[in-house]
Amino acid sequence: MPDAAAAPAVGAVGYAPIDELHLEFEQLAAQLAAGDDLPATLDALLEHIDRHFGLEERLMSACAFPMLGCHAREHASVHEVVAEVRRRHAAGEPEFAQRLAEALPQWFALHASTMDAALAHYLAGREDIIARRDAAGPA
Amino acid sequence: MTAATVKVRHDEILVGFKPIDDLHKEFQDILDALNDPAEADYGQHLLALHEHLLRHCATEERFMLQENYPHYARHKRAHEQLLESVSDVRRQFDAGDIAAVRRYAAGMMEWFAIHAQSEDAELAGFLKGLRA
Repeated sequence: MPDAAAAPAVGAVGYAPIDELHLEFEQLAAQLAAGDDLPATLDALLEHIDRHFGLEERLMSACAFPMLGCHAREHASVHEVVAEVRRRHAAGEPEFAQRLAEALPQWFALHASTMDAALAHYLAGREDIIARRDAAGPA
Repeated sequence: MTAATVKVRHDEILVGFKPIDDLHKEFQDILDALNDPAEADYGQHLLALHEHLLRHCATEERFMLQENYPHYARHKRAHEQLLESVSDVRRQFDAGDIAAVRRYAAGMMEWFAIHAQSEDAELAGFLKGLRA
């Protein structure tokens, strides 16, 4: 569970539910790079990206974000890569996990600062509506 | 569930415009049945959900067109993505992927709360303004 007071190092986009997931992602990427208990880390990473990408895709779809298609396709390829690395690691090919540990932070820095930043900017324009509903409280 | 989700309370899908809120309550009942682990008949519930959502989206879109709602195109795009996702999950169910149905049902309430608090809240505010 991420520390609520901590912020993502490179992936902060200014929308709290996404920032919490980005912090968690960075922690798992660091764990992967450290190389301890790789099978468990790869399992946790795959479980995490299901939740992480799932939430972003629901936000994009429910609020009619125009660039859902390309953003979700990028998620799908990363998901496929991580699943394949996990499969190969389990099959006795450990070098792929090391390569993933090097590539993942590079991918994430670019993805967060472009695609996720664009999504957060779009949501910021819509969040006044969500905030108004919260302020109204239960009916 | 972890802290990193959009919190959902059931009253959060109500927008204060009765014809839309009636649809939202009906949606909630169908989704509850789909999410109930004791209910094994996913095919039946998915069919009910699909039928409901087609009617639900069409009703809202009719209001938007009747009243020249300025965000019709954007709101309709969200509906199209929703309807496409229901078609997808029904195809997955037909192919025997029950896990996909469970994942879909678990995430659906969150999708709906986000949509209700953004697109539908804005539409309801617009329609209520017309009647004031």
